[in-house]
Amino acid sequence: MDRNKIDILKEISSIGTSHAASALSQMLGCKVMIEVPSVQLLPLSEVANNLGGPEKPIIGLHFQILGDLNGRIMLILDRKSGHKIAAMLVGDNPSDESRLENLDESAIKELGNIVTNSYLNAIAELLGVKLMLSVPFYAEDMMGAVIDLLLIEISQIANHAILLETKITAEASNLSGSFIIFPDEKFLEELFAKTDFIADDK
Amino acid sequence: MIKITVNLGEYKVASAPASLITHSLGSCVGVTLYDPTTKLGGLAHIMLPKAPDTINCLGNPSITPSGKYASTAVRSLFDELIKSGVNKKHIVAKIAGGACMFSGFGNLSENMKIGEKNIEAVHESLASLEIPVISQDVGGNTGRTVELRTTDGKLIITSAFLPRKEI
Repeated sequence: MDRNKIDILKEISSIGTSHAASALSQMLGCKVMIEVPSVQLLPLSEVANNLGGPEKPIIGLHFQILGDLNGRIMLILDRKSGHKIAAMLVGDNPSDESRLENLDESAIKELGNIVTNSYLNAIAELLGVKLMLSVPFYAEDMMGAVIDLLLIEISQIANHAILLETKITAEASNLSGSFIIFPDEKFLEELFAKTDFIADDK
Repeated sequence: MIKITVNLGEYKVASAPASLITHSLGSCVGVTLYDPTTKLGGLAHIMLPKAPDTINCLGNPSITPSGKYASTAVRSLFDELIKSGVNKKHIVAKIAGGACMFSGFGNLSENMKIGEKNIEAVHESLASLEIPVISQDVGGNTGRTVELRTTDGKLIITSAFLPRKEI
């Protein structure tokens, strides 16, 4: 992938994440920061290592992107952050020993829904396409176990994944997480075609 | 003690006292073959049931790891052990993994049952080589890290929310 295309991906992700961050900041009532996105082409066996290690405890929300472009988005929250967010939203104190249950899980899903929708809507608007999100699929476990379904899906067509990661942090509350897009080849082709079109228009 | 890591889609063999470990199996399946007489064992981290008949242009067949598919991984492990002088009659298998990590995956994805399909495919491949499965810890909704201890053939299973197990 050339420099220019990497920049386009970073720019798009940046815009998406900044919308998501302001939605998150409104919901949690604290300041949320985003980092500069990173774009990497990785062998599938390296993806978990790159995201903090296969055994890192996380909460993952897996969304399918539907509409004009197809792909997958994962919102990954460091497990402690997920529990803290649940406590902030629901007002209880979830146990560190077990997985989040019912109300806490629903609250995280709902938050993920809102935040990821603002991420995707910003991208859709920028590209002039219609994009929708599936309902979130939720898992709380080790990183490797949560993302392996995604890697399995990708592995059916390629041995490498393009990882577009943007980290979000809320320092005051010590929260951290990231948005990861796994675009498929067609998603990328169409995305670049659209951005060429936008560039030509100017 | 030496621990050899088997990554996603790989397979490796080792002899005592080294152990083989693979981290965080979700829908993936870990299969081990072990010979208690020579204390030689192998572990594969399987992602999919079957290798496709035609490999897509994006997947370069020459670099496709054969640990990736149940159909090729079990065979490769078996061949490696036989090459190392193991008697076929002594080989026993253990299986772990094949969870369904996401609740309510609905009809959205064909892949929702991939864990189940992987387990089934591993059983089929083992049956075709007449290798008995002596124990397994499969299914559920929990990720598993598995370690094959070649000194006694035990499979040690750890997960985030369940107590450690030996099978």
